[in-house]
Amino acid sequence: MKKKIIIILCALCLLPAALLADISGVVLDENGESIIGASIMIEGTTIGTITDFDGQFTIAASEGQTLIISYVGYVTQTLKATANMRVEMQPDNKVLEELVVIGYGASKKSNISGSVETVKADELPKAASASVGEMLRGRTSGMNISSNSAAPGASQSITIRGGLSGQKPLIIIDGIPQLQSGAPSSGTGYSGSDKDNSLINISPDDIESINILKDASAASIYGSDASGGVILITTKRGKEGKVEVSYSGSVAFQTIKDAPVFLDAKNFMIEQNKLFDELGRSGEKRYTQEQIDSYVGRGTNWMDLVTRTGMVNEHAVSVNGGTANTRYLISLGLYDHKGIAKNNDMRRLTGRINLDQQFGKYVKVGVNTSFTSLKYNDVPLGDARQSDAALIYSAMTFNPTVPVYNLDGSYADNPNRPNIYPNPVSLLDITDQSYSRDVFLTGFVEVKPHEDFTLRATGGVDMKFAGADQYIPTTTLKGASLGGQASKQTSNSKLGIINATATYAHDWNDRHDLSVMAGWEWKKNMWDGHGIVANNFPTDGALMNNIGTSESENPNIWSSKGSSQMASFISRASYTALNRYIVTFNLRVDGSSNFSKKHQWGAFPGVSLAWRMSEEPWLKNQWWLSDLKLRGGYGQTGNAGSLTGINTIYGVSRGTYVIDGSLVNGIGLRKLGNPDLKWETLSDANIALDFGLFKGRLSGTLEFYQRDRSDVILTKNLMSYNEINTIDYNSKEVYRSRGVELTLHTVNVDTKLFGWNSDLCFSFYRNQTISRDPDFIPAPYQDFVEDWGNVYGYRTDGLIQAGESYPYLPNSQPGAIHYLDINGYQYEDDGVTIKRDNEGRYMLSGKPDGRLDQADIVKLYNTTPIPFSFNNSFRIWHFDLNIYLYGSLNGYKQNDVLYQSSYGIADLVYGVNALTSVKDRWTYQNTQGTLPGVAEANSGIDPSASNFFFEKSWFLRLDNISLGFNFPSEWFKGYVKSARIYAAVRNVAVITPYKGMDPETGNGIGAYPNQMSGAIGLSFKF
Amino acid sequence: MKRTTFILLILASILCLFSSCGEEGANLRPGLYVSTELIDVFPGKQVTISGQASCYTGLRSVSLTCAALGINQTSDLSSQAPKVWNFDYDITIPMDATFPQDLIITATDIHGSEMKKTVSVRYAPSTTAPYIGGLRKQIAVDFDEESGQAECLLTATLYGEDFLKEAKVEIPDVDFSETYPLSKREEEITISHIFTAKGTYPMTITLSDNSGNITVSEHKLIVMKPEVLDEISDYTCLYAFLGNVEQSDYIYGFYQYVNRVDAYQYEVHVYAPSDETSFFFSPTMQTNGERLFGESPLVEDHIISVQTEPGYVQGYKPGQGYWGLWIDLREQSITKWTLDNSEADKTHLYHTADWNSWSFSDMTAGETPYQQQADITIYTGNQYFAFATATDWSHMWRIWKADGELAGWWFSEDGAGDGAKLPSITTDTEATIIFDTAIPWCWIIKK
Repeated sequence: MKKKIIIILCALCLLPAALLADISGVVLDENGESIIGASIMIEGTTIGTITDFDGQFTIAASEGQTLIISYVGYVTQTLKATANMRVEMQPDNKVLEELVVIGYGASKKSNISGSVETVKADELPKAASASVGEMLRGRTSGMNISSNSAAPGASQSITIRGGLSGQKPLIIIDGIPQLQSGAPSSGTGYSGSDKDNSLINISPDDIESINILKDASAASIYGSDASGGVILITTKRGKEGKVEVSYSGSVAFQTIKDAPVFLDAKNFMIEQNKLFDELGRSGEKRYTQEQIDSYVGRGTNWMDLVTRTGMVNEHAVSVNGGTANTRYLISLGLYDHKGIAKNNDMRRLTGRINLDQQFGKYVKVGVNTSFTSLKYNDVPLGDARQSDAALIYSAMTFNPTVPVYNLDGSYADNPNRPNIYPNPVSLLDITDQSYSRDVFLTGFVEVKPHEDFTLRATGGVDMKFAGADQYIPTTTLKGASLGGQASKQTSNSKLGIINATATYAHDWNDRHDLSVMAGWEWKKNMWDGHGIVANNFPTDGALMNNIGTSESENPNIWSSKGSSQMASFISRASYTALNRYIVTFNLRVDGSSNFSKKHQWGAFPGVSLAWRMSEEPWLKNQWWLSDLKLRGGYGQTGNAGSLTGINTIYGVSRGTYVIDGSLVNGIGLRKLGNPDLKWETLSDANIALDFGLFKGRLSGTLEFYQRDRSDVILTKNLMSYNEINTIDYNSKEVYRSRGVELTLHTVNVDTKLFGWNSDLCFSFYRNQTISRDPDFIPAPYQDFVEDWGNVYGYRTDGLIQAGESYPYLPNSQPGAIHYLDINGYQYEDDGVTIKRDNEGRYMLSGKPDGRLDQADIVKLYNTTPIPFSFNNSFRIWHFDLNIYLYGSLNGYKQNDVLYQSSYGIADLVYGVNALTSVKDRWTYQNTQGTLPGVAEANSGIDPSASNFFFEKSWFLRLDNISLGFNFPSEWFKGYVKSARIYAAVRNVAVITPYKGMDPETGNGIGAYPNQMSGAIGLSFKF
Repeated sequence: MKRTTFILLILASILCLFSSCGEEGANLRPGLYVSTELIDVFPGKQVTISGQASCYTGLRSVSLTCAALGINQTSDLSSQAPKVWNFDYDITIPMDATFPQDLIITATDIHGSEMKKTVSVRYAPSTTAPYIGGLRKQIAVDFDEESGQAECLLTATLYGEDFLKEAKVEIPDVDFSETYPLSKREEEITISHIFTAKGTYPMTITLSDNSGNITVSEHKLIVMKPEVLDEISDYTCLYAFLGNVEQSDYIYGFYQYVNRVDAYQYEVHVYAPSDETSFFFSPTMQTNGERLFGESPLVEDHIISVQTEPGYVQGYKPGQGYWGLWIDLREQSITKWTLDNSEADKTHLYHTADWNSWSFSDMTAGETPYQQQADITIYTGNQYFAFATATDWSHMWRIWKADGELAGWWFSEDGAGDGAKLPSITTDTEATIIFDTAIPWCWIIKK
């Protein structure tokens, strides 16, 4: 009996255990990736567990019990326990959207009151883009990015809100400003494209997010450095969990797109002969009709000989992981771009280590280190002519009836005019290498003695070592004339920075949210460099690597060094009441060594207000409204113009004096100082409406802004004869920018199988000069308040026809451009003195006066762009498709290729090739020709001072089509977390009325040709 | 049947597709142009056969052959396969050649397609007259007053396209007549005679070749007191001035600075308005005096003369246009070359400062496309300095001084700065300022 009782008792004891069988499952995020460390609790008990590295969990619970699954940043789920649970967590937008980096800290997105725009790097198309700047083009309203050349790694012009300040945006990476010093130029007659020196140093794969501070109420926290706006880049950091390895790579092929078409050999001979007739020099024709008739083929295609199919290889690997206390991220990246011009390439190697360490409860330390090595092989570029002609210009214009080589292997010359034009292929012999190595070391210590109080100190240094080596061998025309020319240049720069901030932040039950920050910063810029250019080498063999063998009597040698410092005090207070009334104050005080003590310090305040109307009780639960915020701000930033110092400077330099007709070295005045010089000020007012409708199906921002730049630092001529006859001063000129920006995001379709999102950005702005110096006298055609981007010139009316002549165009024969005499001056009674109006401007009569002069110049166009972009992302099953278009609704641009070819048509007799379009020039046999004939060159008027070669250049560019396939993670049975393959085509098509090279990039004959890229790529994580 | 037709059509389409995807122009024979189809030669003559071969795909070779004349020249182009090839074959007709013959030029492309052209070679005697080198038209012979004699020893080089036959030299006034048998294309003869009296003696040289061409060359032997040249210095600079204008008409620019390039060597760029424009050169700013340089009327190879008999200076006439002049005092020579003005900035209107008051004159087109001019008033006592600038101030020309004198114009890319001071004047003057971007130089000429 006892035995039975014991057995029964044991069974009773074991009953709960039997009922509490292990429940297991997996917790996944919205992308199907496992969540590590998610919490699983049995409701009403203290029993719980967390997910392992694979997101798996096992908990002793019985089926039907309620489990509470939670994880930071995701909506907590309450589910009944079942066997083999699969829990898909949904992001808690209230939490995840909250943190936006705003400079010296972060803020909840809902509490942002200034103009801050956020771009997720993962959303940008990376294929065939070296710089994140390229990827950002058109992605945000108000930021205009244009490439100055289509060459690999070429510089970009980035302007935020019209670029009123004339300064580049400040780029802050993980809280530390980045050096934007450029690489040195070769110092010879040949140089490659200007290099991007801002965003190219960072691998796009390393970027987590990009925040753009567009208005001064937000940017004023960066004070005098922020007049061009601020781009804040946050790099990826290690995440807690087991090691995660990511790889992304792509290969892209590039072909020339929209290259201008020049005459082939036969047409070249025909047109040259015709031109001799037109010039009245028929006896000098070089080609007989028999020779032309017997010609077969197209001749030498010089462009084919100096170009190739470009190729871009990108590979990025990163490893991240960590524990609750230690997190790390290590990444390596390679970007290798073989340009479409032979011998032209760029290679970037990047490395990054980001480390975060928590010491106990109160102290956190972080280190960010990155290394970027950029190496370029350049080819000479530019629109220089004759002996200075560079690769593309030469290839476009060199005589197509000439072979590349002579029989002895030497380069063939242009027989029409020997020893003037370099053989294009010979220019490939030039060695032109440049490099830039950037080391970026930053670290921070954060102490949090109380949950509301944070002390943080950040220090960092950005060191850039750049150089350029070049050798022009004697196989080239220029090299032969110089006996070979070598150049070695270096340029080093260093930025050191320390800042410390104290932040108090407390949220009183979501009713009062206060954040106060104060801090101090010190920054020092240092730079130095040296270089040498020497000629006359005994051999080409050593290139620029044995420059001591130069037999130059007087090689050009230089060196320089300099530094500047700035100390700053920074503060910010932000208060949010009832989750809907927001006010933020910023104040930064900068002191710069560039100014005299009298004006050394500048204060740059900013204030912004926001009202989250959608949080008001009377609007809060409207089904159609998900978000509505009205905000406005005012702030000031500073600008030191192009100032390099206020002191009078004497320098020792070459060629200071002319003695006996020769330049001699000596000490000379280099710069006159102005101790009264003070900061330029950029004042900025901004008002905006953020809205979200229909549960986020339609959201966007509409912003209006006005910014004024005053105390503008300009240079004026001194009213006396001096060695240095200019001085910097604060002018009375005031520049103003007004604009409107619209950003729209729509979720057009969102089903499990199919999704379609669209983003539309639109900006419109106008920059003006609204105030002038007292002694300013406008030109007759010029408004006192003048729009920037105006193009002034003569109006034209086609071409002068046979039998026509115009007394005011005494040198213009038939075929020349018919410039219009449309106006004259009003004269005083003496008939000599021209009347002036109350602004000092010469008064116009409104009638032709038989002269072509300034009175006939009018405003022709305004070239200010109206940028927009339209992005569409589609999702079908596991496929994703992106179609991205951007463009400008306004633009006028001179068709430089046509201008150079047509205006220089007479050079065809020298064997300089021209566009096929020049066949449409006016001649006595082709009076319907629309391009000027040979007479134009003798008109004495440069057609670029007229509207003749200007064309509309609005454009719509289909910039990206990419199609990707995301492999379902279950296909890899857990070995691979995610994998994606994609194919992309970049720069697919451009719709524009502009017939020149490209409505955006380089314009002249020598411009680097634009490319279309086709890429395939792969990325995965495991 | 229908199905068979359909299949055939498909196959034909595929064939067409493939054939149309072939290399452009691969089935075309190369183009070949020869500058002449007929040449007249004589044995020993050197001729050049020029032409152009062309094709779509690339040339393998171009050859010139004629077995009878022993000519076989081939350009192997296979390594570079150019699409166009310009050829100049120099050949010498053998002395034992027989005529007529055919030269065969063959262009072959990389696919082996050939194009041939024939050039007929036939005999024709030379029609080019032989000529005499090394003898000037006027030859000075120094007369020694002490001995009462002048020894004339002349060397002449004789040239002919065909082989020379003989040269006959005659000085009738002294009964000199001598015949020199010749047998080559180029030969030297020496003419020697002793004169016993000063005077001018005509000399005739008659030269003939194997083709029967005869050249008669007339010369003057001027037996005279030896010409004495000043000792030539290596001057700091020279000044060029026009012989047909008055210095007093100029406020500035009459004396154009001639840059010393090396020892005794000077260079200047000038503009001659007409063929009759003559230039003189002087180491100082003076129009008369002992040190004027130009062309000597009697002694052709001298550019210097002094006021001693019989020499005197004539201006140097380069002809109308823009010229570069190279003066070598030690070599006693002036060399000219046509200036390439294509780089000169002729497209902009230029301003010239009206200096103390900083006002500017718009310039209008001048005599040449490179000249701009304006009417100005220059006031007494003002400190003037001159520069010329593009209307947009993008670049400018500034004046510079050398050796205390206004020396030239300095091209500045940046448009900053100004010019050196001009000499002040004593009377208010209306003047025309002319700026020439091609030389560059500036003249301020009284109206």
